Amino acid sequence: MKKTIKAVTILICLAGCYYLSRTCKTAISSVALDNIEALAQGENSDNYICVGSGNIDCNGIKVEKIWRWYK
Amino acid sequence: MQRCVYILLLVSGLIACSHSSQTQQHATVSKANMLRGEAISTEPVFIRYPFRVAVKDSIAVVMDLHCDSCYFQAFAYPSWKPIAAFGKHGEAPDEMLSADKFQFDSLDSIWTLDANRMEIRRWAIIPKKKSVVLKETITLDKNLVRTLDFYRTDSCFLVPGYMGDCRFLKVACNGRPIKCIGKIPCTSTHKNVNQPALAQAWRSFTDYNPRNGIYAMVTQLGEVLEIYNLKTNFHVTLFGPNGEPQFSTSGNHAIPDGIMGFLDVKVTDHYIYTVFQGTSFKDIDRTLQEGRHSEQGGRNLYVFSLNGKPVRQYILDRPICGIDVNEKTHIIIATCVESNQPIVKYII
Repeated sequence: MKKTIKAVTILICLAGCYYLSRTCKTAISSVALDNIEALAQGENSDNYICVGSGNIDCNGIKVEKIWRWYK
Repeated sequence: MQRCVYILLLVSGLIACSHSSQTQQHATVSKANMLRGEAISTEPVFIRYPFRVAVKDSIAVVMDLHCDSCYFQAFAYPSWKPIAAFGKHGEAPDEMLSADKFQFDSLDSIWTLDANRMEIRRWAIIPKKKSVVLKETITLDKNLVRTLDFYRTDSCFLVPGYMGDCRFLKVACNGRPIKCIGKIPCTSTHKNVNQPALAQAWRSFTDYNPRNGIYAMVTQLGEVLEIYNLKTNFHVTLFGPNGEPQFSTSGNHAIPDGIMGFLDVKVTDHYIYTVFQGTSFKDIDRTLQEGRHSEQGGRNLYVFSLNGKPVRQYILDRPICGIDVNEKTHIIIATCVESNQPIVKYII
């Protein structure tokens, strides 16, 4: 009886580990979130430009090409 | 002790069987068929950049990526007589800042995605009144940061990850993420770049078929097709001759390099249809620097089986962007941004 309980416990633990390994944490630190939001709104875009009218997403607009330029 | 070992082996075996994941170089179809389309005018409606199209029974909806006034236009099908425009572009609360994808389920369920506002809206078309009514707005959770694609299922939304930690996520009907699935199948030296930039470079167009459980993702850059069977947990990643997305980084941002890849994907009951461009950014740069126009859209239609085997390849008579596939009638309706007649009908 004890052995059965042991086996069932191990099985449950392994199933739990497997589930956790496939489920990621979606919480992100607020600082990282602010940085990404700034990018999405077009800030920090100091060495590339969004060019033309197309279907590539560039800081919230759809462009033909993203061109890198150097200071 | 011996029993514990047996149990461990049994569980490991079960896990291995329940989640089969493969990475393959996909074969190419030896013979490509030429396909000639019939251009269809939408006059008097002007569509500047027809990027997506969907047809359901007697109604067609076209999404204009760079609209003058409204992002969406509903037409009667197959007459293509205009019914109503909806999704007004603007900054007012009921207007849209961008249109990135839509899904046409039924007359009262046309789902649209505004990535800049992080909102998914549901609209209803009333053909008799020639009007479209907004039914509900779902605000996507801030943790998703930015969502560029989606599929609405019976119970949730499927959206590609923007932060790079998940390949895609299940999102509840209230907009909150509930499950993270898969990883970006990156194999190259880009493994060490920051995850958001990697996810941007791997930006993918997606489609799901609830009847067979197939969720397909195609990369906008490079040539990668990923197939997830959400019913059986089967997963395969197929790399075409152009390989995975090439890019450089600027901070957390990806600067596309390599080639323009896929433009759209549709999963039907039997096949996966994809539109592929394949133009290199070097060629695009050269064309633009010479003051010439760089063609937008893909001239290749690749058809795969549901487990990723290439089945057919069509070379199209013009570049197209979005497709709607009807396997019963053998009709493909496509959008073309390079013509004043924005809709093209192909028979396969």
